[in-house]
This record gives sequence, structure tokens and C-alpha cells, in this order.
Amino acid sequence: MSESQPLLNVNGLSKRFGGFVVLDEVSFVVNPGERLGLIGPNGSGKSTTVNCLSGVIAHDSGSIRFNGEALDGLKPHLRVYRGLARSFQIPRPFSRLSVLENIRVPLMFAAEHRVNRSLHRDEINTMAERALDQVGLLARASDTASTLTQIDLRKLELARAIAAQPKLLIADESMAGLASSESDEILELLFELNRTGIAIIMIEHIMRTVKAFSERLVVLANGRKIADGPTDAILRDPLVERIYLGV
Amino acid sequence: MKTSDFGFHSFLALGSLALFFLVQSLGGGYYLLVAFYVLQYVVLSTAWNILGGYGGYVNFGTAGFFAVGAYSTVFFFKLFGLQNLKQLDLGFIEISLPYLSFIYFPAAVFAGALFSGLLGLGTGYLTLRLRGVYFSIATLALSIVAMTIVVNWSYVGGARGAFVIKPTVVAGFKDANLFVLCAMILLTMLSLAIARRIEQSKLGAGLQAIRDDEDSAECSGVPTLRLKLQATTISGALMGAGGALFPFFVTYVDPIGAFNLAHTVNSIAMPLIGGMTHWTGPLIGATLLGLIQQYFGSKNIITPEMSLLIVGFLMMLFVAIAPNGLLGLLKRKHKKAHPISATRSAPEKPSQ
Repeated sequence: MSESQPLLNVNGLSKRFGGFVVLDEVSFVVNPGERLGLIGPNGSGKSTTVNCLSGVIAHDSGSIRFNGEALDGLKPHLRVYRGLARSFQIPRPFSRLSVLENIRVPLMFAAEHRVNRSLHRDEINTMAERALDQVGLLARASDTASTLTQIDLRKLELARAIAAQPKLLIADESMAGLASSESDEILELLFELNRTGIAIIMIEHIMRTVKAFSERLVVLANGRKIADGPTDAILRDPLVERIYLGV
Repeated sequence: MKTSDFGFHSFLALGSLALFFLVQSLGGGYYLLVAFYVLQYVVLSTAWNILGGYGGYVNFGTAGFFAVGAYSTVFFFKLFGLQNLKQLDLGFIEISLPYLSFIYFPAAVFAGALFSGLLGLGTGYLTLRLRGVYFSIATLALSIVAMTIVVNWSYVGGARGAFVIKPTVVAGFKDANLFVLCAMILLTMLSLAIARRIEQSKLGAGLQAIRDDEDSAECSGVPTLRLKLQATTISGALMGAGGALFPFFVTYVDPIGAFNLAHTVNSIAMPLIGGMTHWTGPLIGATLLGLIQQYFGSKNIITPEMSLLIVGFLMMLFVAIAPNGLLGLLKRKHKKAHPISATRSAPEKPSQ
């Protein structure tokens, strides 16, 4: 893939649930290392977009190309192997495993594909501890995941996603339900991950953080893309103001 | 070899020898039956636990897999005319009666494991896209389908059942049944070794992730379908291997015995009672429950039906008060007694 090519190219993505059109010809790109905000009112199709991108649900038509390769029809784990990782809106840890074991799972299965060699157990442990240190969870490594607080669960979600060594991370409402200071902690963490070269799609309702984080915004409403462009310009767009911001 | 591996293998070797010589010194007979019964359930519950305990997929088809193993022995005995054979001519070598069992038993275990393993793979392929209770119902249906086929298949005895006459003399053993026990001991050790290996492997980690959240596991790079298929195949193969030895011990197999509901209920209850997250759980559960069932059964205190009722009650009790089984209770007790040592200290900050 040449530097000028987008990392992710979504073209005409559509999805229906029965007669209800959830996504209608949505197209956008994400460039390598970019910070993209994907916003829209509730029910606009953001989560369905994430689920289609990660392969959790199959899209009906359109195409998804990642790193120059078509992802259509690929199972979620194969998309992770290609470098596309996601976190879940509601944290979904492996609740009976320890925090460290939660991180070991993507390292055992996905990271090997990302680094193109088998990883030794000690190496996996070191990498897992490094990922936990990065998100500030190292002290809780041996605790069972079910004992974590909400913010720690959010951090664990991110740590597990980055343990898969992604090129693109989709952070699905990583700050939902967090206090302002906690949101800032997650925001700083996302910036830090982006500085390592990981492109990030942030799906978020907190406009303060969206504005601070995103270089570019894609706005969805009723399953259609209504705007795509630099953050400041999009937030001043009259259509976006009317539909999403309610101004 | 790592210290933990050495300890595990020593445990298996010493446990096997101790059990064998204990049964022999007690004169075999009833004690041999108890030992065989308990070991058979260690194999079945360990096999069930690979998919059910580690992966969280409840298989109600244990009796089906077990019976396929048992009937594969019946099938090959008839196919090759092995009943009452005095010697076996393989063309390049003639094997006399005392040595026939050394051929029959491994071949039967291999065939039983192969057929049940393939059945597991096929069932898994057809049903593992189903989740939760739907998968369980599908496995139950499998058992019923297999039983219907066997009942209507006169070649393997149909509803009347069939005899399997094993060689009466085995070189090095004064009682041929002791040889059957020996084979079951070896199979039990193999099952435990496989379960422990899975637990420590990538497959085990993936299955545990699937158990906790399948979508999340898939999005963490776990090839969920492939791992579930592997687990169903291994689990089915071990159940079939256990079933393959059954006809040698009881000498008569019929659908009611082979497809007995007790195989299914016990193979679920035993890991549940012992603990499903560790290979020792099914071992503990099967030993305790198996010995209790045999003791009360032999004293005519309870009927087999009553035994199932009690097992069902125990299962409900454990689900309600100790979902992690006896191992979970012990861990909880240990944590309470040693609150500091029970919590592992956090790892040191890794070097950058």
C-alpha cells in the first residue's frame, strides 16, 4: 500500500434489518495514523457501522477495503489479524480470567499474525504487561476482570484491542458513563496510542472530547452520511448543527 | 521437563500403580468393578469438561458419543469375526490367544476414538454455529438419532444387544478383567494429560475466552469456530475411547446400557461438583460421586433411578451455592485464610 492510499476505504456500505434500513450507502475513508471522529444522533447507524467494519455482522452491499485488501465476508478474527481492532461500547471482558490473561488472549492469537512470527510465552507475558502498563492497569494484572471498576473496564477494553497490534483501532464510545476526569484519562490514552502510529476511529457523544481528538469528522444521520470533513468546518456545518447538535 | 510437568507425570504414574495394585490386592471382583466404573466416569467427565467446562458449551450427547465407541467395538468384533478366536493370523505373524488382547484393546480404543471424534467433528460443524441452549438441544438430538439407528441396526444386535467375548487369557495377568482395568487406567491418564495440556495451551486460553464472551473473543483474534470444532472432536474422541472399552468389561452391550441417561447426567454433574475450570475438577467430582453411587448402589440403599435423582439435586445445589465446584470452595476458603498470599503480587513494571 502506498502512503497516499487510505488505510480504510468504506464504499457504499448498506445494511437492513428486515425492512428497516440501518445503513444506506455510507462511504468514507480513514488514512494511516489519522484520528477520525464518527458521530451522529442515537440510531444513526454508528454501532452498525462498527459492527460491519469489525465483521460482527455482515453488510448487505458495498465494500470495505483495508490496507488495500477487501474485508468483505471475512470473519472478525481474520480482520483482527489484518490489523483492524475494536473496543466494545459496553465493556465485554473475559470476566472469569485475570486482567493479564485478558490481554494474553489477543497476544496469543492475533499478535503472532501481526508480527509474522510465533511468540514465546515469556514474550507474550512481557508484551501483556507492557500493554497493561500503557493503560495504567499493571497493578491489577492478577485481579479477576469481573472485579474491575467501570473506568478500568474501559481501559481493559482498549488494552485488549491494542494488544492485537492494530493499524486501526475503532474505539466505540470508550468514555460512555465516565466522569469528566475519567474521560480525560481515556482521551489522553487514545492520543498516546495515536502517537504510536495507530489510526483511530472515535465514536463518541461527548462533543468536547470529539472536538479535541478528531482531525476529521464523519457524521451519520438515519443511516446516511450527511457530512465528512475537517472537524472545525463540520461542526459549523448548518445541516450538522440542525440534525445532530440541535442548534 | 518442567518441575510442574514432572510432578504431574509422577502423580499419574504413582496414582495408576497404586490403584492397580490396590485392586489386585483386594482380589479384584467388586473392587475391580468399582474402579472401572469410577475411571470410566473420570474419562467421560474429563472429556465433557474440555468443551463444557473450558468452552462453556453444554453437551447433552455424552451417551451418544460413548455408545458410538462401544458399538464400534461390537461392529469390528462382528466384522472381523473376533468372537472366541483362538489365534490371529496377520499374514506376517501369528498372534496366540494370550496376546490377542494387546491387539484388540488399542485397536478398539483407536476405532472408538476415531468414530466418535469424527462424529464430534461432524456434529460440531453442524451445530456449533448455534449458541447456548440451542447447541445443547442439538447434541441431545444427536444422541437420540444415534440410538434410533443402533436399535434398528440388527448387524450390531439391534434392540436385543450383542455379546463381545474378550480373550479369557491375557499374558502377564492372572485375571483378564485386570487387563481391562489396566487399559482403562491408561486411558484415564491419557485423558487427564490431554485435558491438562489443553488447559495450558492456546486452545485452552481461546476456549476460556469463548466461554466468557464469544463475540469479544472473536474480535480479539480467537478463531472461535475452529477452536470449538477442535474441542468437540477431542472431547468426542475421548468419550468414544471410553465407550470402546465398555463392551470388554461388561461383555454384553445393548442400547439401553450404552445410551444410558446416567452417562450424560453424570458427565455433567461430576465436573460441576468437582470444578470445571481445572483438570482436577472432573477427577475429584467423578471419584467422589462415582464412589458414593457405587457404595449406596451395592448396599441396595438406592436404585439407579434414585441415584440420578440425587445427582440432579446435587447439581442444583452446586449451581446455587458453589458454581465453581469443590475446587472453587477450597480456593475461597484458602483466600479467606490467607488473604495476602492468595492474591498474587502485581508484576513489576516491564522494561521499555
